[in-house]
Amino acid sequence: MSKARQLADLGNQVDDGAITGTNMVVNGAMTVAQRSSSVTGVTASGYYACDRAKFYVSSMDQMVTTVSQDTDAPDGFTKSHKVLVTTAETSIESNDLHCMLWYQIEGQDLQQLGYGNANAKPMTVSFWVKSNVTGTYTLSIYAPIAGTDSIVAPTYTINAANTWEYKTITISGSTIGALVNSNSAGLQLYWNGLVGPQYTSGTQATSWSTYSTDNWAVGHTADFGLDVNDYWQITGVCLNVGDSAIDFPHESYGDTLAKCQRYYKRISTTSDEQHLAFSYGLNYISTIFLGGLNLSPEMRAVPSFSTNVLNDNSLVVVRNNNTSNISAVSITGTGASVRLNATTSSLTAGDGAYLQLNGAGSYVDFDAEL
Amino acid sequence: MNVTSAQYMLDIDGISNASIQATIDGQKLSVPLDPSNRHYAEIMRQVEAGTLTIAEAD
Repeated sequence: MSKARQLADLGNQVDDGAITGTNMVVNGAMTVAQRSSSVTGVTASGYYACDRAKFYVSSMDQMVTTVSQDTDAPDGFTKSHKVLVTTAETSIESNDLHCMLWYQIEGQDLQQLGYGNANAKPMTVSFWVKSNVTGTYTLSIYAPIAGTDSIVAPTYTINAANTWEYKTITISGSTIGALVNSNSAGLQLYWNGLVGPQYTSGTQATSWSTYSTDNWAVGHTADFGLDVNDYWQITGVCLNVGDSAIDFPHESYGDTLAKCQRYYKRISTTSDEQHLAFSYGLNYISTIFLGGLNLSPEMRAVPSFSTNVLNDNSLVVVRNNNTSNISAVSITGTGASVRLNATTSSLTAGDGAYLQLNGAGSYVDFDAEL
Repeated sequence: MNVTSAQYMLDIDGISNASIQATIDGQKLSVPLDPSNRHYAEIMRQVEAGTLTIAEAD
């Protein structure tokens, strides 16, 4: 290869983000799973195992799945997001929709695509996928643009059962409208598995088109989930600017964890002997403790708070030589810092105190997911 | 999201609402009053649709 050719190729890689290594997908290698490594009995949309990997269902009747972070992965990867069917759907009805992976990206992180003007740039999605169900699948990409919600729904084919296959899909830029420039979802990617006729009766959206339900997944023929033990796995998910896929930009666990914690953060204990202090403050009155907590990195929005140990001595206010169990926690603040207002008893107003998790498996969650 | 209960929680002034105590998909959550928070956005969508009422604080 000539030096001129090499320089030209290098230039293309720069244009495509290969040199800067920009992957707009967080946790594409599925290495981080703060919530759980496996959740059984899944029938509703939500976040279950791998961080940022949302599961989506609508109008399904029977299907039950296990969603997990699996250790089966192609060369160069160690983890994958897996959906395993434990109860099959008995038939496909018109409005059935099941998506093994629903990934949302903040609009402010997508502005480099330049959507809404004549110079809008192409983007390329690449990923490794494996399933026992071969056939043609769709990846529906939805852009919530005010007044002109848009969709593009390319197909990809799983050719061989039980085999990791690498897929790349390039999508031209959209001139329909600008993506929202905020912390709201700018693009939503749905890897469809089982699709009812309502979603396939329109025109195939091979390029950006005005959204309608009937062009959601035209061309999708794979029927995932009609048999127990159907499974679908994915890893190495990358979305880059440009008309070709970049090499997957691997990063450290710590870097990926920090990116995930913009959206979700779990503080948890790992052993019976552990006493984990996480919020320091004072007793406001005899029944209310107020504690501050800085969130680093700053979260996308003010997070919701939850815990698995309310009314339990696994979550307590540590006060003067004693502890008090907590019956409720209220959260206020920003994505950078929150105040936790814990309802309890037997406090001495004005005393310093702190919140503490005790024992194995106790946790508090902060959720600012899209 | 399946929101089965929602009730305002008062701030320390005892007057203004600080958050919503909600049960969503079987999980108890303290939901901040932030339109960018997905739980709050869904609660308010259901309120506007007339399918959910947020109880006043105790």
